[in-house]
Amino acid sequence: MDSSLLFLPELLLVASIMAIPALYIATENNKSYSICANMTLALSFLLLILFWFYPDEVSFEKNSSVYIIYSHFKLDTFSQLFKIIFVLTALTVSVLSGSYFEEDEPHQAEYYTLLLSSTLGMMLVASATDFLTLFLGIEISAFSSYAMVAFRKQDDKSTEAGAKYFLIGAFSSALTLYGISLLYALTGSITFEGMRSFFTGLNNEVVSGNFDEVIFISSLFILAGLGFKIAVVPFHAWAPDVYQGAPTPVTTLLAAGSKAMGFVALFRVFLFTMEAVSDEWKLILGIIALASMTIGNLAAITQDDIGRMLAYSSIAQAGYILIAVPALTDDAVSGAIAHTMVHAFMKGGAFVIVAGVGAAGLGYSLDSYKGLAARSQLLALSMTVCLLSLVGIPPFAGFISKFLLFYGTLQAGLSGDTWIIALVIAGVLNSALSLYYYLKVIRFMYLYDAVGSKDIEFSNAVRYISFLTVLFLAIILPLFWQSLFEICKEATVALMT
Amino acid sequence: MRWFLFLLLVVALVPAASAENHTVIVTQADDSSSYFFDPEVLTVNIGDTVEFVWGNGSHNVAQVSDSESKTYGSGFYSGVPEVGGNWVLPAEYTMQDGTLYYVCQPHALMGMSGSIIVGTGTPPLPDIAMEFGDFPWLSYLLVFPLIGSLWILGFRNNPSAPRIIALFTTLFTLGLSIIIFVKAGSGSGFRLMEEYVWAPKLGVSLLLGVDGLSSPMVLLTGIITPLAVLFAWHEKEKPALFFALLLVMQTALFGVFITLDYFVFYIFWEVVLIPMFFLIAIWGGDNKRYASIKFIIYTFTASVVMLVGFMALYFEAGVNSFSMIEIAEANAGFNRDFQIWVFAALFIGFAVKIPSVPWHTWLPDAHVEAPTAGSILLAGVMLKMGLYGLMRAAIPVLPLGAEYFVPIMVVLAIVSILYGAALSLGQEDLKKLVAYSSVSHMGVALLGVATMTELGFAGAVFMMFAHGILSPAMFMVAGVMLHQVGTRDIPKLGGLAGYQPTTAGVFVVIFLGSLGLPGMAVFVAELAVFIAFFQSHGYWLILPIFGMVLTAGYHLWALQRSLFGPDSEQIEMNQVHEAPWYEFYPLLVIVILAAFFGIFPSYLMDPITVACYDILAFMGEV
Repeated sequence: MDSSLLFLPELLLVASIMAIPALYIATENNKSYSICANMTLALSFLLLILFWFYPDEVSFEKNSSVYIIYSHFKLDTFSQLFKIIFVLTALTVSVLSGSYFEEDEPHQAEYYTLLLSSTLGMMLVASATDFLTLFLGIEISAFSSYAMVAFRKQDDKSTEAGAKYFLIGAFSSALTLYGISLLYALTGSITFEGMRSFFTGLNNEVVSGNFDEVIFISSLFILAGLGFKIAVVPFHAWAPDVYQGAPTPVTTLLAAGSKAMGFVALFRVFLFTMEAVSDEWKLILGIIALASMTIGNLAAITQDDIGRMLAYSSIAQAGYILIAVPALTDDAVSGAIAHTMVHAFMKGGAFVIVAGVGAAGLGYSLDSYKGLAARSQLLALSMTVCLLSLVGIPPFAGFISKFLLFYGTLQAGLSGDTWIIALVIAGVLNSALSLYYYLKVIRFMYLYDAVGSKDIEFSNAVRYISFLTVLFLAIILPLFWQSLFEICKEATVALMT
Repeated sequence: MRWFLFLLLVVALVPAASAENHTVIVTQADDSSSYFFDPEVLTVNIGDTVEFVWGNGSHNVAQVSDSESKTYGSGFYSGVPEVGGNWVLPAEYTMQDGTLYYVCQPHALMGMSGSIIVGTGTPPLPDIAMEFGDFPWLSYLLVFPLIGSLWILGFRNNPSAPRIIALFTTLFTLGLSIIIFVKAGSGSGFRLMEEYVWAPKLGVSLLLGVDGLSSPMVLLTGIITPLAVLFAWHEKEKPALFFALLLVMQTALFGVFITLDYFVFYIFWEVVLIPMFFLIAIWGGDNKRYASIKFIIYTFTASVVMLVGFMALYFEAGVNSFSMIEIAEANAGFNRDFQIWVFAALFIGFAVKIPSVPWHTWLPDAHVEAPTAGSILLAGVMLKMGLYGLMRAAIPVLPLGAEYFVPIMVVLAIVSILYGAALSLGQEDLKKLVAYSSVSHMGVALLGVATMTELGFAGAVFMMFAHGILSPAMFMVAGVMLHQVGTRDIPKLGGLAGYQPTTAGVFVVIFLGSLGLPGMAVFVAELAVFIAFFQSHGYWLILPIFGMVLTAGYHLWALQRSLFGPDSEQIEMNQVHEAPWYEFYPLLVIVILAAFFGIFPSYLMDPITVACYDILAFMGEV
């Protein structure tokens, strides 16, 4: 069968990106854009699922598990898994935006176009086989999200966040690019495969020469750029401001989608391309992971804006995920993949509630969560599940993924580099530390009386999404975590070979 | 022909009957430059005899516990024969697989030591009897409270339906737990086992089973929860949520006591925290926000450290299973340093729950602020999780680690006993007094565990049960004071016996039972622990005994100040009533139970002793 069918999920997005401006010319109806975006994303999501379960029919051979198109675009379990996450996130954001924005909010056509193009960029990153495609994907996604963050032109905070995000983003892109160019100059290849074989050769002394400094410096530059995307210390400073200032659906996209994209790129670069020279970057990543979780958690304690608090928590979570990267074993990496995915659900779920509460006019400070349980049991329950899941309290999904993450990493530490054990212990203690600020929100929701009226209508979209989140995080994933583990294992094998 | 057959028989039998004889020379170099056994390491088969022959010098042969040890503790000892004399190792030492280490006492420090490897070299672990049940009693135990809580949420707007459903459910599970206790019996090994595969690739399954260690705890949970429900009969604030949480908590507690899989054990362990947090945070006293946060952060921090320990055990055992039984069977491969580190991690997790000084500070806060039903479950059952976990998940798997920690445990236990009792003396709030007395009582149980003897273990488990029924009763007493008198402050009370004579009588019995009056359950436990401690540590016993004096002191003093003496000026005496039926009958039930198990301890002691023997067998101590 014709393999270009495999492009369908992406092609659909491209078609829709062109269709929405056309719709804008044809009709002034704001609803039509969101309907168009929702339909596109839902269809794309269905196709991805379809291709996942019936790969043979569309010539995506699951046995060989890899399918490469024009040698720049690769479909394997790893990429498809994350594409599902990206499209699902974008779908959630799109549905959420429909209820978040006022009917007559201007520039909605642009907004949905940008949302789709940002998703397209993420999907490109997941499938990239060389640095050019990777960089292209990152930039498509990033430029779209710069504009989306600053979407509310009249709102000072939104504009400020947009400007900040853009400046720091452009700077870090430049750093990444410089790192890539160094690697290119060194290896003479732009593809991951080519660089990998160069580094392996270097390791086996097939290629002679000592390039330690160059490799060290270029990995530092690339790390600076990708570290910005996943928001780890010390490249994290933008996150709290942007998460706070951007319209909440956009924050959801950044926290769930964009962050996962950063990890996808990071995994491809460090776990596949530069695996052979891991000695050069292992320790830096370890230190960054440690700093990130500790500083993230400590800073989160004092926040009184929910967006900022979740931003710092997101920084801490990135730290947890990073500890698996220096471990370099299959189990650790599948733990990291599992936690990246589950993190997208937990954080996305939490920000959906934030959007719902914000859209209902209650505000974005922690205080606005006082008495939420009295206003809506469902929203409070969903927020509780998301937050406890972020801490890693059993039996929620966050515990399962965190367990897999620490499990794999500890195993690597016990059998290899012992300093990795310290990272695991730091991660475990940090989890306990983080309990404090998550509990603060839970206490506010259940133990305090609501200020103001009790009868506040939350939009149906928010209610449905939060119901699904609870279902997924509290019941489905914990029951079938063996499947999660196996899928992540498959993805790891696809990623690392 | 007949002779030939006879001869054949003889030839066939002789090699089977003959055991090889080995000789070890016990000697020193002529110039005294070196002292040695020759051969230093001897490998023999089971049933062989070993003869020691003396060369130069005066030496002896004395068994030591391991290759590092230099001092004779117990085991074989040769005396000091003349040069050229000999001594034969008693046959009983070579009858089973194992490694025997020995030294020459005068020259042990000069490196004169040797070992005999019998058979495979590792002592055989006892086979654990595992009996799979034909009826899923244990999963019913987990499922019914959950169904009950969903049922309650279905009737959440009805004012009295929740408590009736809760009482019904808990009485039903009480019936189940009695059945389970009886069926578990007092045989060795696990009964009523069930296994449901969850994640086979990682070796996680819901492995359920009870033995003599867990069946008393199941019974305890079954008894305490309906009493807690009954005591909270008139809960006005959000009754549906309250009772639903109690039932969820019951499921989690049962789960902790009946799972034999580290992973699932940890999950239940943590799930206990969530309902307890809400019980304290929503229905607690004035300072509930602080107390609930402190409670959950303290215990959560400790238990994540414990989780790291569990994972390390899993990797080190290498059996690709989180099953406690399989990991314990692999414990011969754990080296001593590993055992010490992992035991430390597990001990932190368990010690916070026990709670042992210095990790006890969450307990008084949580108790004082918790609603009485919460305190009942907290003191009655939750505190037992710590020691239960220690005896189930840590000690059998890590015998060397446990031995290393014996002195630390003894010190912590004695400090807990004395410090807890001393603080109790100084308390004015009755509930706080009971909270600190829990620290002291659980110190006694920890002391029993630290003796590492069968009697000590059994005393500790008995203490867990006895304290598990009497300490809730004391919290109920504090609750009755608050409801019927209006205050729990001891200095404000006085002369209550004249106004509520029946209730006061029950109070006195409960307090006397808690201080260890013979004939009540606590006495049996304390006696067992102290005898075991005297056997293992001798006259150090004077310290915990002194703690008992303090214990008697604060119990009697509290009674005297609150119930007797002149009528208090600070309370309205005409407002004081007898306790209502739903508060009185739980107390009466407990008094009866405490007396029953005090007079007939064997119903509990039999299964407990067998289980404790199993644990020691696993550690290779017997």
